[in-house]
Amino acid sequence: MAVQYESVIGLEVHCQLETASKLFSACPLEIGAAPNTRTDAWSWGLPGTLPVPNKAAIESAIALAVAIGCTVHRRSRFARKHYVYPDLPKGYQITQGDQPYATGGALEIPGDAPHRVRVQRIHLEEDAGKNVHAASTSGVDYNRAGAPLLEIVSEPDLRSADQAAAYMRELRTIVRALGISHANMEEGTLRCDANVSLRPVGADTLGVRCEIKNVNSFRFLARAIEAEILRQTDLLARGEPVLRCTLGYDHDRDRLFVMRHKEDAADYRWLPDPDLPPLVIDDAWVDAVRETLPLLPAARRAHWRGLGVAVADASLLAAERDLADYFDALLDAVGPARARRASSWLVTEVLGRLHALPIASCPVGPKMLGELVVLVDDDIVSGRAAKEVLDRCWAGEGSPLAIVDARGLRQTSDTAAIDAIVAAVLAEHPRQVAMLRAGKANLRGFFVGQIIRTSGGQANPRLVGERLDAAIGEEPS
Amino acid sequence: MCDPPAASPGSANVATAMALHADEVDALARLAGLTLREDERATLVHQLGDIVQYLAALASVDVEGIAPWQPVAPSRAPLRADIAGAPLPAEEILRGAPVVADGLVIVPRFVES
Amino acid sequence: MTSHDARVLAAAVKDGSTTASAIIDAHLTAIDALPHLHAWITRVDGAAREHASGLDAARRRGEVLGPLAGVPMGLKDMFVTRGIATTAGSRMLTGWLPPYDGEHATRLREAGAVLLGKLSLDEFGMGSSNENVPGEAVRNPWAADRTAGGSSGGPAAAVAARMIPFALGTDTGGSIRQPAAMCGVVGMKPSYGRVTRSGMIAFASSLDHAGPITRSVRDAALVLGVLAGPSDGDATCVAEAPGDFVGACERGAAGLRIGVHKSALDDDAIDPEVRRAFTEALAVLDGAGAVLVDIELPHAALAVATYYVICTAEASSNLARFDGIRYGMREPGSTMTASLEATRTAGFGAEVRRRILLGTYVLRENGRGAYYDRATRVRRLIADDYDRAFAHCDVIATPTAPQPAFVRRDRDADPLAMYLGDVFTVGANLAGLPAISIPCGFTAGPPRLPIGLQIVGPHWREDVVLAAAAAHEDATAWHRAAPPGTVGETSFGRGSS
Repeated sequence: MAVQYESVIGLEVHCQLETASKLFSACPLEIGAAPNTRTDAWSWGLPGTLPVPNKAAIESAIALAVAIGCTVHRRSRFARKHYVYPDLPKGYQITQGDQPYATGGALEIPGDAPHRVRVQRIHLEEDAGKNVHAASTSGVDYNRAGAPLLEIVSEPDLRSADQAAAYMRELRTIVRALGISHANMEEGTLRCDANVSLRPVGADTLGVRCEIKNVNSFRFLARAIEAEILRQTDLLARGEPVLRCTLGYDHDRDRLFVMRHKEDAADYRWLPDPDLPPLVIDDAWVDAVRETLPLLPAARRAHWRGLGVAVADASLLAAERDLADYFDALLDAVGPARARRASSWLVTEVLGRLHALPIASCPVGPKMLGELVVLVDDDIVSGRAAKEVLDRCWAGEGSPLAIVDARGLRQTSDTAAIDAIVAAVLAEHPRQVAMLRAGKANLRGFFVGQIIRTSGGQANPRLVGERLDAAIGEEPS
Repeated sequence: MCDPPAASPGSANVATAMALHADEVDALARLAGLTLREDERATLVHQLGDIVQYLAALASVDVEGIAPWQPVAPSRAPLRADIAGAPLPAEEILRGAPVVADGLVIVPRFVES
Repeated sequence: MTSHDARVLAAAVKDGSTTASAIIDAHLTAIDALPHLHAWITRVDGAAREHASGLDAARRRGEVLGPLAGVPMGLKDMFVTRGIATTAGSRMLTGWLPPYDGEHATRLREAGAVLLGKLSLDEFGMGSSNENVPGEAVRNPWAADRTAGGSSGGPAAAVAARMIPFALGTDTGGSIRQPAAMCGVVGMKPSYGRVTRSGMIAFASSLDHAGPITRSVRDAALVLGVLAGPSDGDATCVAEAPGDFVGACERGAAGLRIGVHKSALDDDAIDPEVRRAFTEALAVLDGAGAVLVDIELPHAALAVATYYVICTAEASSNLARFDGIRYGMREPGSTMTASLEATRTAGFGAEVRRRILLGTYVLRENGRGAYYDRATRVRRLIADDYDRAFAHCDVIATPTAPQPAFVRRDRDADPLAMYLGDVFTVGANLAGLPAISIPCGFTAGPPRLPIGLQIVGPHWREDVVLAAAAAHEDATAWHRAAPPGTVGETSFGRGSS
């Protein structure tokens, strides 16, 4: 009988912090600058230079740890990890080794059944430069050398490629909500290595894992992980062992390739960095950071869902800080009772018109949109009319109320007035009334149209339908 | 042939694994990015062996419960305000590099040994 | 003029009795006369003359000058100087012109000191004889066949030979104090964290110190005052209030408790003449009102081993950056690895390669528990020994080195024997304590060779170290002795002490 395997995935995510200067020196940090124009003596590893930690980077680090519920350690150390690579200016990287500043948090992957993924640790480290490979040489740009990174290591709690991508997206949303990083995979400010292994379902030990490195988009991450799961599944099905290795993903060919066989672990000759006294983060600092944290995506989603917002809409709106802030402002304008209507208008009508442009380019602000939402919710304008109003707001014609009044779009919801029109229209078309009563359902629309037209376009269509049905149903058939 | 030293701190194995052998020294050289010249290998192995044996005196000390030394001050790393200074001008810094092209430092293709 | 102390020269410039230019010219002439000592790697005569005339012009304009204005000096070639070759005594940094000035060069220049050039050293600070050099070993001015000590042999020789009144050296295991002792001058290592390491090429980060080499204790205090103080660029250099170092030199030794570790002096390796001079020095201090106290340093015998585990580990790490890629020399290779290995093998001398291999050994994964980690704990024990001793004494006195200057020898001679010469000096580096070496006598000779007395104090207590040292200096004249062929050379036959 074939053994059923489950995939076990852990992610090591590197997030480049958005600070003015690098982690250990005052060198300016700028993405996309011309090669070697944003370096200083430290970034080049020049002899005689020493590290001094960047306070803002530490503060950002604390913010993330608090946001995902980690324990922030009062005392942690920096350590040197030695290896040889042209983009590593000192021949070692300053990272945190076995004394990271934060351990033990978790984040929730949103969805109908939210999945909790534990975070093992977060630590601070400096980035290396960038290699540009040519045929027989490499060119090195040290602009990025020394940039502050947070490395977030998850427990192997992920069970599918989609979950892994969703975890990455949530992490990205959180760091962007905190304002500590651009977290853009294409730009390289968010990077991910995935550790993938298989084990028989029900087993509690881990299988041999392989590491996929340097994937630069969410989509490719999912594809690469899927490819690796397939590769390992095939091997195990053939009775062959999975050998530890490091893989890259060629997205042009949609294929994994082996970067190195990792039979021997590298000897990094770890050394607690003698140039850096212990990093001390006291409770007062953690508390101060906690006070200033913005509302986080998971909390926002839960709050909105509690107000009746659909799960998918809540996830979408929480994914970008600006959009979430817009929605919160919209809620302030319309009140929590109208949350569901407000969210669906924002998602369907506003985002639909923006076509993936950011909310910042929306010409209709939340207060204005809120005005319109209230008009629709209170049945003052019909849904159809409201869309026209929105188009006109978008074009800058004025506020929704002004437009409604200027174009006479208020609908009548006066039952008595509508009953009078219903009666009049029915009286004008006795033959059609009889046919409708006899079961010719498509005549209903004819009558609704007639009634609305007679009302000068102002009758509330829903109410018209109700009163028409009532009038038709009252008479004996 | 000597066995490689065991990893356990305070272990008497430290004292026994003393004479360094040529292949061990070669392995160290590879890690350290050095090649040993034929004419010096034997001398170096011998000298390193003597020194390592001398250093093994540390194995005899009881360090149970003793914390690693830290400088008297500072007890915590001073933190720097996040203010960017001026970068080094690219021409100046690249002038010191042995091989440069298109603003990049050029090296032979890296092949992991 | 070249026999004067820095203080005297600075005062003369300040009161106008001489000019900076005259002082600089005199010292450049002195340097020209002594090329056979091989003390200098790079000279910057032109820039020095320019700096001096600038100072003279400023003085004429009535501007206030710094405390060392017009005083010539040299920097051990471990200190980074912008646009001036900085080699660390190594082929590896051939042709490197730093794009920045280190903190030491900057502070001394702002104090008005005039840089005459970069001084020879054992490569990357590793050595005790200034023979670990690509070119010629530094000669001891007292005897041409002897080493000047190391690794700050160039600075010590230059100061002893009256080429400059002061120099800056580095001290990781005794590299300021031991050559000072061997050349008959004053060398001081401050407390760890007192003087910045920013701009000083790193050998072993937790052990490295910058410090002055001078011909008098008061000059050492003066220079230390200029250098001390926190630095933005160094997380280990803190804002401890600098003391009045110069004022401390006037305190005298009355009532000072001088700790002596008797068992350490029983060592056969100590030259009998060193033992004699040391005993006489203690007698001088006793005569000045100090009290001698027996102390114990139970883990002293482990100090050299502890030092060599830690310094080689940190050195192997600090020197990992020298790969031929970004600066300095590069040997070609078909792959980066080949180029890197060829560069490091050709660029580093034998002692440096030896220590890198040792450091790699003590840090590697399967050895770390045994070596490096353990050594940091033994270091704690050694530091605690000093703390306990200082409960019973104010300073500790030892000979600086067990032997006077030795004959220049085969370069790959027994390295371990060389390491054992550090037996008295490494303790102060391991514990981060301030320590000074001052001249306290000569061997009978011929040749007559200087002998040094070391005084070690508690952390941050440079003041009491300077007080004891100045008291000894005031009661003797060893520091006034000048080597043969230099201005004011001592003629021992006529009873000058």
